[in-house]
Amino acid sequence: MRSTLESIAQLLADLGHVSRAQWALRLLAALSLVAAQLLACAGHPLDGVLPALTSAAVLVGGLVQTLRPDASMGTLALAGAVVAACASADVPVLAGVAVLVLVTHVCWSLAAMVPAHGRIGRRAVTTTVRWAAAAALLALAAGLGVVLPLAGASTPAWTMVLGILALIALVAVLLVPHGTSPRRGR
Amino acid sequence: MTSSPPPSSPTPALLRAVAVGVLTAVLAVMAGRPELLVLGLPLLAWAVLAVVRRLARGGADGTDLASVRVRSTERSIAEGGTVRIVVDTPDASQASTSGSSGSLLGVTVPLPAHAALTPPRGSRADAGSVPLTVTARRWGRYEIGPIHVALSDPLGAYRTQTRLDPVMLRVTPDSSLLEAPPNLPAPIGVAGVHLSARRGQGTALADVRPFQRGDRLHRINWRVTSRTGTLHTNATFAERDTDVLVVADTLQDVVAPGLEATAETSLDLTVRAIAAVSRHYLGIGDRVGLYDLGSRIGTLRAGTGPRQLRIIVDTLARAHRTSGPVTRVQKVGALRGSTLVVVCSPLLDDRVVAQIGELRARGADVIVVDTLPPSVGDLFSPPGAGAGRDPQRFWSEAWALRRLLRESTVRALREQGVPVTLWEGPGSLAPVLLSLSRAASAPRMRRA
Repeated sequence: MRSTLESIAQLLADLGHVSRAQWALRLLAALSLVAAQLLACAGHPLDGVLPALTSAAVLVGGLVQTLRPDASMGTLALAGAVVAACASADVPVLAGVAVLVLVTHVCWSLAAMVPAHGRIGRRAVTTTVRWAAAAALLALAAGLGVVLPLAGASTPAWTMVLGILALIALVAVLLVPHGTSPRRGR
Repeated sequence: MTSSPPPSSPTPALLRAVAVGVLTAVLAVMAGRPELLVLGLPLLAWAVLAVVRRLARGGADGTDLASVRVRSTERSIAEGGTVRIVVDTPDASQASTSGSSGSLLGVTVPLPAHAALTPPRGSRADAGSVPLTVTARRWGRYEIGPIHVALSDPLGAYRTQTRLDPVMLRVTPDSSLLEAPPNLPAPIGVAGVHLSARRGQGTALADVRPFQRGDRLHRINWRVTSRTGTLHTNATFAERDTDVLVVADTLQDVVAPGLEATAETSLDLTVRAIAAVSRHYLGIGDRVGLYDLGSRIGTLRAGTGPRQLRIIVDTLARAHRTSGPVTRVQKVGALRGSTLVVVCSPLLDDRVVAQIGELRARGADVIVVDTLPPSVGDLFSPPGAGAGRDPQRFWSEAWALRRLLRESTVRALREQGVPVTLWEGPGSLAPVLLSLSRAASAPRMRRA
């Protein structure tokens, strides 16, 4: 009993040292995860078995991952949101959930890299956002060029233009030099 | 200082992305609904970018993350100064201009004692390079580190960590300019800036007297000559330098109970006083030596000029702060008569008091700078100063009694003609030196 209390007290003490930037990252990840789950369950009864199970997985996994961003429980939370979204046949809903899941994943990834009580430099944030944008653009291009034709969805012609623009933007994001040099930036 | 980290390994984030991406693919195949692939595409794309980037940089074996190095703008700073420490990858600048995005660095430095770090907890993460600033509050040697560095690719998919050796920093004591008059009671040199009581070559007017053979013509006072009708000349005081011996009492390092982490110790005050006195007298051309009655600082032969000041300050910065009380007193050796001896001491050891009396008996002009911190034995210290105080022990009261006992020592020294002045910064010595020089030039009663 005493050791349990001590471990809880230690956990609370550790959380007290977590920096604001860390909390901001973890909060953003938690919010986007909850939003993804709500979007996935939108239009479905919440008292069903699948939504209940996936919501529990999202809750437990998300809570553990928020407390320890370098844990592996985030996989359970993201899998819960993804499985919950499978009930939907609406592609925009699926895309929305996918983007929110990516945001959650990237926030946890950066939070795991930064020391718990440390500050986060601007260049670290821009670099992470830049690569997350690259992943989103690559996913957009692959979705428009491969997945939707595979699914037999009737895609208007402008989606091809959008896909090409996404590829061009991807190249631009990956190859255009940074605006901030390490010597100037603080 | 450069360090090559061990090979990087996949992070839980990469495993998570792959697992969720594969799960959506399995679900899409099992359900026969290809549109479900949309759910996992961003995470799969994220994982693919990470793996491709790693392979493109030739890091299949985990050596894609560059080595890290630590640089500091200064190796030696003055007390209260700030130094910038930068941890970066050697290719950080090239990476930013080529668009290949530098690695993410997470740096953690343990908080050194008596120093302030920015950011306050010594942890920061950034891309390419991570700057930290250290502000030293006290003189001495600082070991900033070991520096723990977590290094990852810009996506956070592969990570490694390494530990860099500490950055050594030397903090020299604050040698603020002493506010003291240049005149001394008895300068003993040949040429210098101190006014001596003897007549000779100088600038300070001593007298106007009748011209004698051998007097310089340019010293003739024409006004007096025209008024009196006989040649008169200006007589001046000779200007000389002197020997200054700074004696450090480092037998104890005393600090107020309960304030060990924040308050200044007697050794702090001693070192600062020595630095200020040395700077003052070396600045006006005197020879200054240093003698340590303990063994924390060390002894230096007398010397002159900026080089001697640099040697003294460097020696002070290397003083051993942490060693325990010193039991053996190293007595001052041969001394020229009328040497100005400045003893910096908390006056807690009778052997030091005896040594002061001996120096006085040898003909030296002795000044004692009291370096016992005012907070020691102060029962009226501000609230919170005694935080962490053990109610069963009465250290503050004991020190208050010790301070009262010490008053009799101070009084006895003053009665023997040894001025004792409290070290309160650059203005501490001015009144003592002025009174000493006045006493030396005052008319004396001739004994029958």
